[in-house]
This record gives sequence, C-alpha cells and structure tokens, in this order.
Amino acid sequence: MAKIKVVHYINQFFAGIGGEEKADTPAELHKGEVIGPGMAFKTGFGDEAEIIATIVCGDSYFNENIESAKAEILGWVKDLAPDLFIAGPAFNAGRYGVACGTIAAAVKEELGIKSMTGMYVENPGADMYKDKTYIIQTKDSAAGMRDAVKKMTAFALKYGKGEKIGASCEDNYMNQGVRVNFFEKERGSSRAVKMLIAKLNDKPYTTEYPMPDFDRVEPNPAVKDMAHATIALVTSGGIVVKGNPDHIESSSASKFGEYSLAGVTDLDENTFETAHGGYDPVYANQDADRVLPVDVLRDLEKEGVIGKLHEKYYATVGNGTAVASAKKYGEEIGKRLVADGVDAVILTST
Amino acid sequence: MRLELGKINITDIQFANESKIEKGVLYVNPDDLKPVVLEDEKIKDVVFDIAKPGESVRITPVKDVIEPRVKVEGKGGIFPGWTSKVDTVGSGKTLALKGMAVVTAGKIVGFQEGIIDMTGIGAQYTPFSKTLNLCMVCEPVEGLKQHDYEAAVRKAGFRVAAKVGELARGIEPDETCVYETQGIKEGIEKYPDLPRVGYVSMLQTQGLLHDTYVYGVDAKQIIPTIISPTEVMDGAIVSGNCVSACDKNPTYIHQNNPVVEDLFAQHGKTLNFVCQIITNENVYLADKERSSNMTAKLCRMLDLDGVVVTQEGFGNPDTDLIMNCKKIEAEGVKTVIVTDEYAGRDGKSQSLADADAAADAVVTGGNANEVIVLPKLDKVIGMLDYVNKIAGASEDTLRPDGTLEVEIQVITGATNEMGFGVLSAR
Amino acid sequence: MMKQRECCTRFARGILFFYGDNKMKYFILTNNPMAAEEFGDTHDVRFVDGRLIDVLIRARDLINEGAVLLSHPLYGSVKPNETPFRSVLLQQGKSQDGELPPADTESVRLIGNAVSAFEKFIDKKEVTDPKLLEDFMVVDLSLLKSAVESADR
Repeated sequence: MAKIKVVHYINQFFAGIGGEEKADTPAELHKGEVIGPGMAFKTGFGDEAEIIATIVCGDSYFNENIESAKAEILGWVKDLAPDLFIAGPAFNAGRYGVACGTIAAAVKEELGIKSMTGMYVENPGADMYKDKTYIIQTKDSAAGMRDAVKKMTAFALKYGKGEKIGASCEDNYMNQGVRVNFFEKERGSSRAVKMLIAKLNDKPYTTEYPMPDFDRVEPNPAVKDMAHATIALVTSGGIVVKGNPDHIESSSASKFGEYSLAGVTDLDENTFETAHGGYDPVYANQDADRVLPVDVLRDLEKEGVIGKLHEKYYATVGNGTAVASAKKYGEEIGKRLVADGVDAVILTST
Repeated sequence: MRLELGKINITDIQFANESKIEKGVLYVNPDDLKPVVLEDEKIKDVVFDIAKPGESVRITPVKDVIEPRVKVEGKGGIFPGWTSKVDTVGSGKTLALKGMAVVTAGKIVGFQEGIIDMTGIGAQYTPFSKTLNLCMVCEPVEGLKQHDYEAAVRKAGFRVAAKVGELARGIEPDETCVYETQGIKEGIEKYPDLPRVGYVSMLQTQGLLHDTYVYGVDAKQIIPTIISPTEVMDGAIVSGNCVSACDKNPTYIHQNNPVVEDLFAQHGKTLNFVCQIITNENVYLADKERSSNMTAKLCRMLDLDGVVVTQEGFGNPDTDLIMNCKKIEAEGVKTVIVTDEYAGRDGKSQSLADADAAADAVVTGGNANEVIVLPKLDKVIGMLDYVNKIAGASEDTLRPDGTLEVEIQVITGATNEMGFGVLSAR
Repeated sequence: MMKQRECCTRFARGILFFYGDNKMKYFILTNNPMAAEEFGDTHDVRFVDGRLIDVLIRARDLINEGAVLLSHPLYGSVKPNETPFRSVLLQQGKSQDGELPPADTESVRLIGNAVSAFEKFIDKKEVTDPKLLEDFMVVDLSLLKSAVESADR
C-alpha cells in the first residue's frame, strides 16, 4: 500500500523560530521538510505515512490576517494534494488552537481533504471546531507531547487508511455532537452498577450521555418602578452601525460592539444594519428596529412607561459563537451596564 | 429471602419422540407441546421450530422471549398469576434451562416488530442469537380481535415455557447460584458500613401491546411497590409488551434481570442490595406524577443511598425516567439511569424526549436509529411480508437482493434499557 | 350530548390539583376515527382531519392558548413516523377577564419535545392498507382508553 501523504501545520514556536516576539511570522511552506513535532509523528508513522511538507505560521499573523493567511495556505495544500492534513497539537495555546481548528476545518470543508488536529479540551479552538474536524484530546501543555503524538498518530493512520472511525471515546477525539454507536466491553447493567458505586463514594465517573446543557439563570426580581427605570438594549442579532466599524464577524464572533443611541429615535437602513450571517438579513437591514426595538422603546419613554432608554447598546453575532465567548461578552457587557446605572436590560435575539 | 438458582446448561435442542433433557440436550416432541398451546380455543394452530446460533435463520416478528424454569422447592410456582397460583415466589430452589429460550412469534398487528437473526451482523445486536431458540408461531382463529390474540399468544408462551421447564425437575444442575436479600434491620446490622442500594425498575404499562404484569396484575393499575429481586427470577414479572423491539423488556430479561444480577454480585462487598422497586409508565400525566412521587418516597423511607433506574420503551417513558431521577435525587438518593437513544439516523438529534440536569449519571444502550443492512438469510421462522411497515424500516427496506436496510430498533433487545447488552453510544 | 365529568385531574408544574366541585372538563383531540366513534357520545371529542403531526401542532396551538395536557403526547412505543394516529387529552384553560389564560409551562415543554421527537424520524409513505390502518387505530384507541380510564376514575 502506498504511504499516506501528510501535510503538517505548526506555529512559529513549535517550528523553533521563537515565542511571542515572533508570532507575526508570515506563513511559510517547507516542502519535503519535517519540523518540530513532525519528527515525532515521523517516527510514529514508520513506513505507513510520510510528511511531505510542513507549513509554519505565526499565531498573530494567522489570526490577524485570517482570510489571506487561510487562502494562501489552502492554495499550498491544494497543490500538494495530501491524503491527510494534520495541524498542531496546540495543547492549551489559545490562538494556536484557533488557528489549527480554523485551517483544519477549512482544508476539510473547502478542499475535501481529510483533516485533524489536537488540543486541550478547554482550548477555545476546541469548542469552535470540534464538530468541523477531528480534534484529538491532548493534555494542557507541551509536556504532554508524547501522549498527544501517540494518540494523533494512531488516529491519523486509521483515518488515513480509510478505516471506520469509532465512537469518540474509542478513538480519542472530541465528541462532535453526533451520537455514534459502538460495542462496550461490559454490559450496560455492569457499567451502571460501577457508575453508582463511584457516585456513592464521590469518585469521578463519566456519564455516557451528557444531558443537554441547561445553563439556566435565575431571573432577577421584577423591576417595581418601570417609570423611573433606565432600560438598555442588548442583542445577539448583529445590529451594528452601518458599515460594521468593529468588523464583528458574521459567524463565530470574536467580539461585541458598543454603540451610541444618543439622539436616535428610529433605526433606518441608512444608519444601521446587521452583521449576522445566520439569517436572511433583508428585513433587518431594511429596518433594524425589527431586531433592536429602539423605536418602540422611544415611544415607551415618551409615554412615561419607562424612565429612559440607555444611551448605549451592545451587540454581537450569536451565529455559531462559542458559548465560552458569549459568556465572556455577557460578563463584560454586564459590568459596563451596572457601572452606567442601568436598571434592566432587554435582550433580543433573531 | 433466599433463592437457590440451579442452572442446567442446554447445549442442543432436538425434536424427538420423547420430551426429556439428557446430557444437556433438550429433546422435544411437538405433539407434547401442541395441546398446551391449543387448550386456548382462540389459537387455531401452532408450529414449532428450532433456531440455533450460527444458522442462517431469521425469526420474525418476535413477540416474547422466555426462559424455561421450574420451581422445585419453596412456595409457589413459576409465573405466578399465570401458570401457577399467586403464592409469593422468590425463595427455595428454582431450576433454569440456560442457553435456550422459548420464542413466541407471529403477527398480532400488521406492524408487529422484532427480528432475531441467528447469524450475520444482526446477530451481534440481539442477545437471542446466542441462545438455542424453541420457536412457536401461533395462528389465531378466524376473526380474533387484536387484544384477544395478544393475550392468547402471551399466555401460550408461558405455558410452553413452564411445560419445558418441568422437564428439568429432578435433574442435577451444572451450577447453582444463591441469591439472598435481608430484611431492613437485618441488612443494616449485617452491613453497617455499606451503602444501601435499591433498583428502580420501570415497567411499560400503556395499553394494548404495551403492558407488563406483576403476579398477574396489569401493572398500570399498581402504585409503586417493593419486591424481592429473587421474585422476578421466578417469573413474578412478565411481559405483554411487544412494540419497540429494541428496547422492550421480554420476559426472559425480567427473569435474568441484569441489574439484579450485577447488584447481587456486589451485595455484601461494595453495597447492600436492599430491594427492587417496581413502578409503571402510564399514559396519563397525573399517573406519572403519582408514581414518581411514590417511588421517590419509597427510596427515602427505605433509607437508600443510591439506586439504579431502568426504563422500557420509546418516547414518554423518558418523561417517567426523568421525573423519577429528579425526585429521587431531590430526596438525597443518588441515581444512575439506564436508557437508550433516538438520535436520528445521522446521530444529530436530541437523544431523549425529556431531560434534566439531575440526570448526571446515564448509561446508554445506544442509538436505536442507527442504520444497518441485514443479509438475506436462508430461512425465516414467522413471516417477512410485514417488514417494510414497521418502525425503523421504510418502503425501501426489502431490497431487490433480499437484504434488509433497517434501523437497529427493529432488532429484539438491540438497545435494551436494563443494560442487558454491550451496545452503547458516545 | 356529552356528559359533564365528575372530577378531573390537572397536571401542572409538578403539582396535582383536584377539582372536585369545579367540574373541569377535558376534551380529546384526535385524528383516529375509531377513537372519535368510541368516545363521541360520551366525551368532548375534537376531531382533527389530518396527520399525526397535525394533531400535535393543533395541541401545541391550544396549549399556547392556555390548554393543559393530561396525557403524554408521545404515548405508546409505536414510533411517530409509523402510526398515522394520535389522540391527546387536554383540559381547557380558564380564561381570565377575556384574556387568554397563561400557558402551562410543563405542557409547553412536553408538546415541544413531542414535536421535535416527531421531526427526527424519517418521513414514511402514507399507510393505505386497510388492515394495517385498523391495527394502528386499535392500538391508538387502547392507549387513549388507558388515559381516559385514569381521567374518569
């Protein structure tokens, strides 16, 4: 059987170029070279697979020039036409993890080439890309390199040969949100009894079916005196000042924006629009009040139903945005609202 | 209560002139069994057949699977309320024919499910590909209503299993297991340091083809109660449930309840197995509320530290399961629940019809919507004409080459929610 | 004429309310002709001329307008893409000052889960075989009866 051809992607640190100070290193293609962790993969692959090229890119460079860097790298990978694309492992390095996830997902999605990466479960890249490429779960630092390479090598050979990939727990990749059947070693009742004994003794155990995540928030007590309350608007529907000055992404938003409503009584198509890429934007662009109801709140203000509308609003795009990111934006927005003396918030979605 | 269960390993089944068990071989004369079936005038005829592991045989549509047993010492007899009086069973000595089963098959309704393949990929999914199966296909009298037909076949199965079980009387078992539970005070004194563990067994109880019986009582009429797990070994719980083949609990699985076995294996070592609590899965929401309230209350009154909860069937039992789990946890009793999943053919849908954060320890029997292709087999016991009508099948199920493209939910016991099988999902 | 039920139970937010003197009525929403025939003279039957999903969606609409579920909308283990029939027991919500009663959150949750459970099964061709249709009707009726028996007790 022919060797599986692999292209490997790593950052400036693992390529030995340098740390943070070299993170702006542009993407480089090293044909026929095996660099850094690639050496360990090479040993693991034996004569079943070979790394035909290594792509090195600085983390800052990739994340700040995401579209052009991605296009450039995709171009190289397309020409190299490997059987498999491996990025990382990135461990708990956030920007490296996001870069690995982004490029691995793009290689699979846009070129139809098998791709995989490896990182720590809490790396933000994991949450963003685990359903778009295979992400092998690694430890949180490069001290876990040996373990990571072992797992990634085993997966790469199986995947590269076109063998059937088993359930996530069998093949050490992060669950992709898809339920996959497999045969356990012990019957269900034995597993249940073992799990109960662990639970009774406060020992760790892993549920086989995590319940859908209910991050329920207890509502605050009702606002008693609406007539004197300051009400703010916050949306995940992507309503931004025309031109999207903060460049909030149409999906997987990496930030939120703060915009002024001073003197604004009605949002119209000349001044506001949506940055959201997950719904038909026509109606939101025609009249952004449909998503962020400034006009109605101004009416209520006039009628004396509410004290006043807060003069700033906050917006992000909820389309595919990682829960961890959304939480972070929420916390920051909350702090600013409290500091501004806002009494209540209306959250709108799409 | 103390029950000795003597196991007689059956290594082959053969039709013969004389019905007997000799050197592990079960010889059956169908003419001995036929009258047992036909004593119910609702059944016009019955055909017996034998299916062995590895043979190119498909049994379908399967109604129930039953293990022949006989009670040789102690109160009562096998299947109390059916083939025996309603004496309390579960103590003394019982003999079981291991490695074999009586399988009732036949089309009670046009969408009757249940496939047991004795070979091929399907055999990996059903536990009954590993048993020697004495199959009986019953034909009803003309114009028999669905309810009467179901009851007739159900009861005929118990009678045949009891009759075959009788052949074991006087035979020395190959192995004997002793199962014993203590009274509450006795148990606490004997195992003062071990956590007190119960088993909550949810029974399917909704109507025609969806019923379970306890000592002959339709379990939808019961309020939750406690029984000794040794009682179920004597057939105190039997199945009238024959919808959702993959996750219904045939009588065989009640008799060989895997949770009971595995809790007994730990009894006196890591835990004190106190009792089995049985509850139901009714259609009416207030019944669900009442039953789960009672179940949680029993767990509390018995001072249990933990329970395993198992369910049966698709859809609304998920609501019972979650209610039980939530309320039992709220009593400070730790739970592990056993279920299966309907995550869609692509595995991407929400697996359960209900959910709660309290259910933080779940064992799954796998995704019942997984699609597999069953090979064409040489022989069918029962009939195949219905097969594209059933859940987990489609118009294209029966393919031109004779193979069947189906979801594993058509296979008897594939995703059993008592944890009888090894299939799981992540 | 339909008979006023003596007593009904209402399921809401995990609490069981008993209406002794109130004589709260319930009704049966069904697309099963056999159920309509069986209970038409004695109960308030609202027939839905449509598919199983139409019954669920009609029930969802009524729940949004304040009706409360008395039976589980996913009853039976017959899969929702298999049987064409479904019957649901509902209780009319009490309107207050002409306003719609508030929706019962537990009912909203259950009916929502039932609709999404329906959606995850593949769509199958309509059942036309009369014998098979009858079998489905019989099983649906049996499941419904077990709920009605509980409700009328």
